Amino acid sequence: MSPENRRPSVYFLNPVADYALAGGLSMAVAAAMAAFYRPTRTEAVIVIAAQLLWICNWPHFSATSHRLYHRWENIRQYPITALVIPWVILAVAAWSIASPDLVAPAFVKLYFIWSPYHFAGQTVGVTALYLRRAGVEVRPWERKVYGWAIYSAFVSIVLRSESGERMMQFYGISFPSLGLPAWVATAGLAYAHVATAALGVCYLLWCRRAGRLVPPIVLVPALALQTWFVWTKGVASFLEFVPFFHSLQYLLVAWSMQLKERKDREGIAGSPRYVWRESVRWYLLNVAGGAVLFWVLPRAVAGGFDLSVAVTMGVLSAAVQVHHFFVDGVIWKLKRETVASPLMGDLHDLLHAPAPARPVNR
Amino acid sequence: MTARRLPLLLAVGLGLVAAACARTEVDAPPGSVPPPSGERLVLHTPAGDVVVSFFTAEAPRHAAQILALARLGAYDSVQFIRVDPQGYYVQLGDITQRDLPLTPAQRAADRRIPAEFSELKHVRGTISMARHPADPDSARSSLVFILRDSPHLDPPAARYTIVGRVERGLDVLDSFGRYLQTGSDAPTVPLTVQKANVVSAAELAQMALRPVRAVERPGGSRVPGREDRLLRLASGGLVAVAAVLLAAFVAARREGAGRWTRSLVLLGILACCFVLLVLLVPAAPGRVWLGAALLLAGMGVVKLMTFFDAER
Repeated sequence: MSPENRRPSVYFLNPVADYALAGGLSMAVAAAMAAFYRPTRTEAVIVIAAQLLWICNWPHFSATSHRLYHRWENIRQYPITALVIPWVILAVAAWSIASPDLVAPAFVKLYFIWSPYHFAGQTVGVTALYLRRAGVEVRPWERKVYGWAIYSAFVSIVLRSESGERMMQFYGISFPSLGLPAWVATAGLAYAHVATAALGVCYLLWCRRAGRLVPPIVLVPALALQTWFVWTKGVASFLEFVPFFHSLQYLLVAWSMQLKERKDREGIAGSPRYVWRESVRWYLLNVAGGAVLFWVLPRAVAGGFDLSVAVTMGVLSAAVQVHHFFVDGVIWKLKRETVASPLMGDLHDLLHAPAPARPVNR
Repeated sequence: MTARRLPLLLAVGLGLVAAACARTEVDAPPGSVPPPSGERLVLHTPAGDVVVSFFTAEAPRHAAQILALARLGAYDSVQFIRVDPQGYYVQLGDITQRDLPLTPAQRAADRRIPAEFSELKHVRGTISMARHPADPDSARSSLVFILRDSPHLDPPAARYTIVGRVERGLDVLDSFGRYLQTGSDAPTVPLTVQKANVVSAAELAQMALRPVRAVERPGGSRVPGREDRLLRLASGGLVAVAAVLLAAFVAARREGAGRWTRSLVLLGILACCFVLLVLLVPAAPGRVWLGAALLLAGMGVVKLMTFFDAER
């Protein structure tokens, strides 16, 4: 089979790696921790999660910024996001730091509502990607059903967080819950269960329509999100790792995109050498970028202006993440062919495909 | 030296020795509070500032560890986790319990300290080390500030390492008792160490310490009267502006308006929502309708942002 008419794989890497990185690993860890580990937030869990920030969570934020800002063409494509939003967020962050008791709690509250929505949005995107790669025909109403199923996890966790009267803390910034009645959280949970069952029905319809077993990986991101937000609500020790698993999912897709796009744009022939060198370069760049955003910047600002490190870290962490939400919202539109095409590549392409006849300008 | 001066010198010398012994006896009878030595720890809390000095002679290792942790910033954002309803003590939590992850240096400095029991007593103003009841050598970083004489914490009933005393700010710690609800020893407002500084006596003299003050729920408290009316007016105005902008966005999409127009309108909606959160989140607890409205607004706005910077 020649490279030109080789059917692309469902998987970016291989079945085991894709199932693990798309959410399977997180479900296995959640099950193991629920069965064998203490549910409370132990020191060991906090320490391990803190180390994982450096190698996974922070690089995934950096990868978004890198994707937007590393080429002028991208900035020209999304000028408002690239050129206006950073200033808006900077102004809000400065206001929050200047008013840690009034404005910072509202900023953190907005971030806490937006963050799980962003998780769900990423899950919708990854699900759509795998459905496309698996060649599944999805009807408009089915797209709505799996969208509702995925967003039901966001609704459930937000309703649960905002029910009851209590104070929450984020890096020393205290903010109250909205004090909704307890039945609201129960209703959110019920909605999540019903919507997930509807997703299961959709999957059966896809299998029936295709006349084969559709690769179950199309369900893994959605089920992983339910695991993170709904099914492990009593396992605080596992919840420390949810951002890590979300970042892992993102890095798989972003890595694939980066390598395929650069290969096509610069006319590079696929080879193991190219994959290793570009992967290491891109990863180390984003580790450094993440460290600058989340470690260097807050300390520099706190030290330079004699501010509380805790509050500065909290505000800047929320600010970087809100920026990430904006950028992610624009750069991964699957409907754009310039986005969809590289995302259909796989490891075989990267390792073996010859250079295109003419480099592709994107 | 002549023979005539020797008795005089001897008398002066003996007098100096007697004076030194007398001063020692007067200054440190067994069980009383010895003079502070060396550096101070200043804890900046929402309720005011507290100045702590250390008994470096009686508990040198505990004092050294606490000061080292404070210099590393380990106490920043640690909360006071317990306020005794009877007013005997308040407890500052362990540094590992704070939300901010510990740095490697902070973790390395956080060690179990062998007990340094002494003749000091748990009297008002002293600071004791929290430890596991069954393990006298398990103290690390959690501090217990004694607000009432507590002989039940002294031998033979119990033994704890007394590490220092509150030099200034006992009234700040006393005020923590306001933030309790019946049946609980957890404060109802976050009493967090915003910053912990290690200072010399000279630096302390230059500092403007914050006196005791009331801690409001974060975001400010709802003030009745004229300010309440202004708040309602401002909120109503913002809701109206947001509604107009939303209608403008819908019309802009329908009419095929440019990307910049649609995105700037969306930014306006986001700004209105954010200011509404600033104004109204503190007032939401206890008002279910307001909490629900704010949540729906927040969820709606994040959904709207998916249209931001989108092509037609």
